[in-house]
Amino acid sequence: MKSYLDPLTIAKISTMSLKAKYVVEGFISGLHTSKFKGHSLEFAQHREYSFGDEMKHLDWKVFGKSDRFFVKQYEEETNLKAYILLDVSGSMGYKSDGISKLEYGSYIAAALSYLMIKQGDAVGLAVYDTEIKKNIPPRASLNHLSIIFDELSKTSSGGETDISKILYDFSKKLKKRTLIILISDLFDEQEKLIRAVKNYRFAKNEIIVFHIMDKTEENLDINGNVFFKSLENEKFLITEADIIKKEYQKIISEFIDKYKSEFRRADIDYSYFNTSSPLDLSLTNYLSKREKLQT
Amino acid sequence: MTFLNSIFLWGLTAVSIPIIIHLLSQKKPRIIYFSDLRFLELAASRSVKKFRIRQYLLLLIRCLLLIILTFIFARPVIHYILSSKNTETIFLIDNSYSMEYYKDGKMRLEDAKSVVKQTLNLINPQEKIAIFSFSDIVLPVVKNPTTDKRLIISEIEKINIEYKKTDIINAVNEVIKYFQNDKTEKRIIIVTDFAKNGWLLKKNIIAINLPAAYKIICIDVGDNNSKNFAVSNVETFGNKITAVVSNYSEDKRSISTELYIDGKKHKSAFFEIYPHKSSEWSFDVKNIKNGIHKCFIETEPDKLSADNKYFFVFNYREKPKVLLIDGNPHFSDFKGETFFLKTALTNYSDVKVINFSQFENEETSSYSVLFFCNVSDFNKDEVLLLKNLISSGKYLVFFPGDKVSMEKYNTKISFLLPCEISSFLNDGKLSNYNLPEKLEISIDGNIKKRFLLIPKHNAETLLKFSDDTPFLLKGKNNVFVFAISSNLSYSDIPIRPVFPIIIKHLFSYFLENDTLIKSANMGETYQRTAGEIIPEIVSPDGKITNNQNEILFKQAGVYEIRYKNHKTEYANVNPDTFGSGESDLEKIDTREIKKLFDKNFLGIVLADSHFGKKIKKIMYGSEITTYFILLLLIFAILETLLANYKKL
Repeated sequence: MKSYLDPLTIAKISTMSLKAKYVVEGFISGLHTSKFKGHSLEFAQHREYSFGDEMKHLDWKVFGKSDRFFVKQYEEETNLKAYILLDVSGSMGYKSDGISKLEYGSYIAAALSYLMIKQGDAVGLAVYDTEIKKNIPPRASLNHLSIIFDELSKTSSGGETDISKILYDFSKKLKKRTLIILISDLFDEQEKLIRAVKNYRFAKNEIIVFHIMDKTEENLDINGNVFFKSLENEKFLITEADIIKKEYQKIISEFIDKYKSEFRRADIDYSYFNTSSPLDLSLTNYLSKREKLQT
Repeated sequence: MTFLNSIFLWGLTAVSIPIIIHLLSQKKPRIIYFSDLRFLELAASRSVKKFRIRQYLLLLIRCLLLIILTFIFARPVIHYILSSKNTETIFLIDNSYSMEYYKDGKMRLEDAKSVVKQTLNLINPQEKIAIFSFSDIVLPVVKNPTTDKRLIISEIEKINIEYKKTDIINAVNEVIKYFQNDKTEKRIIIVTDFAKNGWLLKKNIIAINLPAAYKIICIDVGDNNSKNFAVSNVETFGNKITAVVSNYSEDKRSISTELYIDGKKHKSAFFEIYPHKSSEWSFDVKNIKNGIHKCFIETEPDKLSADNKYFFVFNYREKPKVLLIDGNPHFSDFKGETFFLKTALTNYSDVKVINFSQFENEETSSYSVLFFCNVSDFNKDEVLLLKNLISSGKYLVFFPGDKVSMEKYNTKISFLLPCEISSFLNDGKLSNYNLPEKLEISIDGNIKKRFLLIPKHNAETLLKFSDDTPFLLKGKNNVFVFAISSNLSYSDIPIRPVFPIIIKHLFSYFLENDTLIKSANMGETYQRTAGEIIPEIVSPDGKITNNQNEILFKQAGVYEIRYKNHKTEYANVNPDTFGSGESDLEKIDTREIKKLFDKNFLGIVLADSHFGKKIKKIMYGSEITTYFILLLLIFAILETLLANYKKL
């Protein structure tokens, strides 16, 4: 857990508030605003007290019977229900130096999970390549956070990607408005993927896209004759990296720009991260942007 | 293309260097695992093709750079004639007398020799060379092709001017004939002054005889603005000399001309003659004795001296006195019997016209020739007078006419006539029998009426009609009878151009011109006729030859050929100036020459200060190393640009 919750990162995130852009269905308390404010709450379950839970939510009756602290949970108690969709396809395993995209994505996922749960939001995690490999439904408890962290520490990259299919499949499972946080290198058929992401917006869900790439993927800082082997399949390419560098940079730049412009047009939050840039700085920048949106 | 330093062509092997470098630079690729190959593939498909093209272009340019560099060292030469090492060169050197023309103080023939020597120096040592000189005949100088240039040069020096005309077509044909069984590749180099008259366009002969494999090179040693004038021709008759002086320059010239008789200057004249025009100098000679005189007419000196002097023998006869007796006088001269006759005779004689009625009283002894024109009848005294005239050696000529009574002629003066006047005939045509062949004058005349003359056994038919009947008869007694009248009543011959010629022909009998005078060209040979005793020949310089069957007319001048029977023949020997001869130096248009040799390679070179370079270029091509240096620079720049494409 420590590897994901770098104290410096956590410290910086703790100073800011992640505020939901859209009011989700359900009862909102705390920092979040809700159009259903003042509506009666429905008991959902008991949850063992954990550090950070407010004392006012303790069920003293249960404490009297069992001598253990339990917190009452209501449906409305979940201010925001979020799902982090983490791409674990083979391409995410690429790293030129430092950390891989998957590691980088995992850090972001862990930090966001921690932050959101600290704010009482429910966070779920789904890891996928061509299919959802692991699905942890959203919960707001700190225990749940450890489950997520465990899963994140276990994930490894491999296989091909089909993000658009995953997004379509996943959208069918959502019954309430949910915040989807997509962490991926977005190496998929671009048009199809954009349509799939936009589909979430049409379903009144919020989706945030974290686009992660390696600096070498962006700049192709490779020289000489290279035998490129795909991390996702058996494909390969032999070429002079120097010759194609300029054209490659142009293509990648167009690729990223297209996501940026298409998502901006659809009012979808899109953030581009380069694994070489500091992780905490990337998150801070993102959260600052969210904060500005809120105000 | 060939190379002067072909050893350097080994440098072409260096072309393999960039290829090898290119192949070696294809390093083994290192393996890199990459996230997604789609974008790499796309980038590769867009960039690699361009890159490869650029790379191969660069490789090509580098190879070319090495090839060009090798060529620069090897010194390439481009060829206009593809010739093998066995090619034989035949020089045809024009030594006609136009080659005696002086240009910048040097004779054209000397220029031609120097041009040939210059060319010889350029000819590869293994190539064989033959030399011929030519005018209208071809003379071998070195007839068997040889590589011995020293021999060739010494033989060339022996070539002298032939005082003959040029005939290039004949020369080429003769050479082709000479080498017809020799299959070696030939290059004919004609060195001439390009004078137009030398290229008599016998195109058919060339087209048939010249093998396509023959390469022709014409070297022009002529001058574009030649200045020449000449005594083109001289004719003598009686006491008259007629000379033709021609100006073959491009501008009007004032030419002084002198007549020398027996070595002494007799007369001079001054002419202004327009370009390419002639002037006739015709005059009566006085104050010399009757008989043979050796003469020449000479113009002032010019650049071509051969045609400035014309030698001839003048058989001088004083102008005879002629009496024309009109048997049917008319008030109008045109209708008269003597008008046209008098006009024709005036040039050669002093003419007096009388009516027949005055005949008896006229002092006839002072006349050499008496013409009786349409005299109808003669009385006894008149017949006696005629008889006396004949016996005293006078010439009598009878022109019949409508007044003439055939009967009376055939009875009263039959004893002196060379014929019987038989009858009238209608129509007729004059034949050219005995008329000078050279004269291209129409002999067509409208003859309405004529007499049929039946010659007697001692009569000589001098001129004939086309039906072989006599037109003019001569008797041994020097009595001449015409078959037509001397006026226009019988025919229009008196007004035809042929009439003065007939009269001149007739006149030659009156001049007792029994001396034989021949004209010959320099370089021709006198040959004794079979069975004839060898005559004594006196050449113009006085040298006597009396034991040779034939003699070459080497010098211009008068040759005397003395036969044993005391008869002497004269030969006027001059350069061949017939027509314009070699005197007209106007050059031929090179397009005409190209037409002539249209099936063969033809190179035309002017013998100027750049001659050496030009002839070398035609024979062996020209060195193009400079162009390769330029190419090298261009390709070097291209290479730099392509190699630094990314940086740029």
